[in-house]
Amino acid sequence: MLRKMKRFEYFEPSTLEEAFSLLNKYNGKVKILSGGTDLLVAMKERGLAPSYVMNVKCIPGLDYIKYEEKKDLRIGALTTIRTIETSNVIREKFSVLAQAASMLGSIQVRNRATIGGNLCNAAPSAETAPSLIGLKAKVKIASLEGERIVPLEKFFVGPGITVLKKGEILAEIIVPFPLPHTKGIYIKYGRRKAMEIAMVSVAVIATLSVEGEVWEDVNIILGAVAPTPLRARKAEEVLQSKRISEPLIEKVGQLAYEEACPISDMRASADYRKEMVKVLVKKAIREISGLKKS
Amino acid sequence: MSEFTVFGKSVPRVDARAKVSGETKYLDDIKLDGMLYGKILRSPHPHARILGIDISKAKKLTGVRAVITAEDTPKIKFSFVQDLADKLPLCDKEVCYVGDEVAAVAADSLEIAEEAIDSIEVKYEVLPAIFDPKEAIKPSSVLVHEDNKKSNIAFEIHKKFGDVEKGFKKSDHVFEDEFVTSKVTHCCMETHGCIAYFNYEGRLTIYCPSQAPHTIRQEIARILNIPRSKVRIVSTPAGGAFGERLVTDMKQPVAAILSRLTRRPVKIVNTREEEFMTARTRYPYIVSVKTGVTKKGKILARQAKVVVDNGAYNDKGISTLNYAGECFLMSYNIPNLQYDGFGVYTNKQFGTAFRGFGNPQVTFATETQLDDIASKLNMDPAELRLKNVNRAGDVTVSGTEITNSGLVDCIDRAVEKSGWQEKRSGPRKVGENKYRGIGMAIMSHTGSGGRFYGYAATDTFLKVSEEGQVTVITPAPDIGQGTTTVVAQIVAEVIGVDLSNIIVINSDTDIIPYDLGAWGSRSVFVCGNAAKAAAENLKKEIIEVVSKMFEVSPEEVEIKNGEAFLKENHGRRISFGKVAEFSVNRLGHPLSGRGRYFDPLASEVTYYKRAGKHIPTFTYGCQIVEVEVDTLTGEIKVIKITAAQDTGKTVNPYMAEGQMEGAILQGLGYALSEECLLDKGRPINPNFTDYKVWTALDIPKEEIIFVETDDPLGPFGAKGIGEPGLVPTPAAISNAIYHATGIRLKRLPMNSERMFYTLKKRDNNKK
Ligand SMILES: Cc1cc2nc3c(=O)[nH]c(=O)nc-3n(C[C@H](O)[C@H](O)[C@H](O)COP(=O)(O)OP(=O)(O)OC[C@H]3O[C@@H](n4cnc5c(N)ncnc54)[C@H](O)[C@@H]3O)c2cc1C
Repeated sequence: MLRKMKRFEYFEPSTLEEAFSLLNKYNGKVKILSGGTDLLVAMKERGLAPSYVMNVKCIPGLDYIKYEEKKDLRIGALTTIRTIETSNVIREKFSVLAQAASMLGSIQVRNRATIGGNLCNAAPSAETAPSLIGLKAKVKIASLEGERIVPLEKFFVGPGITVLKKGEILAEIIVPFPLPHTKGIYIKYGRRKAMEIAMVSVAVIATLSVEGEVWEDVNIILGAVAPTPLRARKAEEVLQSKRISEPLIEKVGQLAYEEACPISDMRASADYRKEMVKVLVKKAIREISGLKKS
Repeated sequence: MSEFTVFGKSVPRVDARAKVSGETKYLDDIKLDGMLYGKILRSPHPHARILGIDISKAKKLTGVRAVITAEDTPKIKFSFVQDLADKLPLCDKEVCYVGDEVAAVAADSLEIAEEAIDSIEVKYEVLPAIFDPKEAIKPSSVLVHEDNKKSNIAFEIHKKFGDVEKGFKKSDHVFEDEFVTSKVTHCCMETHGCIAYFNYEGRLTIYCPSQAPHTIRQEIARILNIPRSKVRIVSTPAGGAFGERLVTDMKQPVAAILSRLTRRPVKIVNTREEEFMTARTRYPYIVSVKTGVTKKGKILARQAKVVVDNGAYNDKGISTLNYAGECFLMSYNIPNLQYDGFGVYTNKQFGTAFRGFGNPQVTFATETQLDDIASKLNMDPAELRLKNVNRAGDVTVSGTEITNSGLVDCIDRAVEKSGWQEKRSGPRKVGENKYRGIGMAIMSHTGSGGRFYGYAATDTFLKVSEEGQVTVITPAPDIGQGTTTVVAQIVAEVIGVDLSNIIVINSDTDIIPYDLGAWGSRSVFVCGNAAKAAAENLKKEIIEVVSKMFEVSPEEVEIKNGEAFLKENHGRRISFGKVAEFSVNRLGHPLSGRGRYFDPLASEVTYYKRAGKHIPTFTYGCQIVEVEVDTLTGEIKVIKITAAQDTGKTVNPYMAEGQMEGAILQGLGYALSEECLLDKGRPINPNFTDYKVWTALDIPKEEIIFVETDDPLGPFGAKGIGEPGLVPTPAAISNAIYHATGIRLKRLPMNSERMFYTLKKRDNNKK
């Protein structure tokens, strides 16, 4: 219910150190506030009532996109989705991420929503997760003890749950420079063109051989069909080092269908979600390989 | 060149500036001195007996000013039709749906009110509940109102003309289908709310967005058992209404009782979740249609049986069922017709009026079936319709005289503008697994309200003040549809003044003339006619005064553009302001006007008894929709909608287009994506994330065509078109889907998942 929020204490640290000490002091009772587009909805509609809210937006140096040719792309956790969507370097070199970013909510939401918030909120449908996992992104997690780096694939534990421990903040997303001949596509499937939570989403990112015929490194990640973003391993394996063909595409679709384990809810039945995984995975592969169905 | 100067022009709405600048005060913007905040405790169960309510904790909270239960109310049951009364403002012994009102509080702040509500303890004995109207109609069913009803049938409507059995016997083909429509809601941008204040003289003022302030006044008086003269309704600007603001909502009497106890104004406003849970919905219908036709496509008989999912309480259920029947009887020239409808209680949030008033539900069934008939007869759907439609001058078997009809023109124009001929025959496959199709549907709807209340009149008063400013006192409620502007345009046209010199007063029952409100697309017709009559009355007085000023006979005087002049000598002219001044200072009386719309037939047509005579004039429309279906996913994309609409005469083309576009958008959502989903009576998508209204990005191309028929009864020939835009949309879409894929969807919403499984089933059957 959209209610007046319960009382809470509010902090606005101006350094990471201050933030860490607040996190430690209130031992797990602090909610981090970035764009607030998930947190405030949870507080107003779903009765989430944290005793402390810590706004991290006043900490300098967490909002950036740094790109080093042939090395990697680094995105500060406070970078907004809109900044990512419109960044030239991301559009050119990591287009699948820009594509995913452009589909989140609406422009108004994207102007506030941060990439750190999107990942830490850990919705099974989180827009940026599938393509980032497919790009083999890692996240830098910071705390008083220092920093640790975790592959994004290992970051999600369940709906709303990540490997973040008390006292930790997600600081940065690191995306390695993709190999040449890497192509990616992200498909979001929903009922509306905006303001839509994905019923199913699919990211396929693959490195092709120089001639573009053999699939050398295949990443198929599914959103909204499991408690966390899901890598369709069996589907990836059958494509690995193979020349693309229609029968193979059918097989990949079938395997992805089998791997998906969605729930039924008001957005779609589990079975329809699985069927859509099959259709969309095949569609994504065909588009990457430039094949049209005969 | 048009004969008009203001009427028929796309002038900006008179309230546009205040709205875009944020100056307009909606209900929730209003704060009165000493105002308290009210909150209602609602039932968490679809059906339960109340064993006890403990309000002691709530009463002890600091800042709580009143806590009430049924014991504090007069316990008078209410319904829009009093014979069907079944709803208490606060439940006494039994709750019948999730959201039913149980107790209420008034407190110094909303936070305290919410806390107080949370602290009220209610002991329930959960009772068996029933949700499926087809089950509920059975005599053996669990009862929705255990305490006082013997069956779940809430009401019935029967209409019969000719002999359908004979008609079916004579037919070459007989078609029988069942169609199911869904539960959708209005989704007004502004959630519903009110402020009630009982003053020390015992007069109650209620501020609320309202479509029918006088009806609400009468309803509140009934529920509270006080004289109507003690109630005053002040309509606040409405952020959407669409039928949702017609019948009183229990917030209003509850706030009134809280105010009476506390002697303070009390505001109650729905949260969005409450709005979805308790705001009443469009009635879901199950419509079985049987139609008999000759080989050549002449319809000989048609029969409909309608089961209305009434929800837990009576509201506009019987009225919508009856009205949809009126439309069922008159669109086509069919000699044998029968219509039988049953309203069935279920333990769910109940229905109310919603744009189209039952007509969209029945039209979805009849117009989809007609398309099927066309395809079986191998006839063009347009031709089949033209062969059977009623035309101006016809009298239907139910007794309706078709005084004026643009239907044939609507069909012709829509066919022409949509590229119908070419697209019906052209290639339909447009890409990998993508198929395009084009379909049509027509509709007839009132363009003039109706005589259902046995009364249809209203008045308008005009006052002229300094500098010739004209105040129009009209009952026409502006619920966003723009009647303020329409009334101003009509008055300005008659007396020849600029719109900027007109002020419209239309919101306070202590001031405005008695009227039935904005429903049935009636405001332009009823209030427009009254405004025109008043303006003509004023014009006469102005001309008399000018003739005295110029010492000429009234016949020699003309008024236009805010001036009076002599027909023969345009040099002798005088401003309108000067005329007003002269009248006051020299003649000793002000200028004023009064006018009335009076329909003598209204009092003869008794409530629900006589079919065919309820509606003074109808409006007609034809929509042609092009869709693209992805057979792999089941996705249905609307490419374009061509909508031809009979407006009589278009008062304001921009606003009329806005009405059509908005209605079509609601029709698209109704057809394809919107639905109030319940799980065992509990709403599971009471939010805009999962209740799928279309966004700006989803809207397809719309081409709106106005067909002008110059209605002899309407003001300057106009009739109302507030509702019709969505009536044919779902059927047209269903028919386009059939053209694209060969699949006939008969259940709303026609969403991608439903399409996918229907396709899959067909493909499995083929194998
Ligand atoms: C109307 C609307 C539409 C939406 N549409 C979509 C959509 O299409 N797709 C989609 O994926 N999401 C959507 N969302 C959800 C939301 O906008 C995104 O998930 C967004 O990226 C969250 O970012 P934020 O900065 O607003 O997070 P916040 O709400 O500030 O935080 C989200 C969660 O992450 C935690 N957190 C935030 N930053 C950090 C950090 N640096 N370190 C550790 N924890 C942190 C917070 O404590 C909180 O639990 C929508 C939301 C709304 C309101």
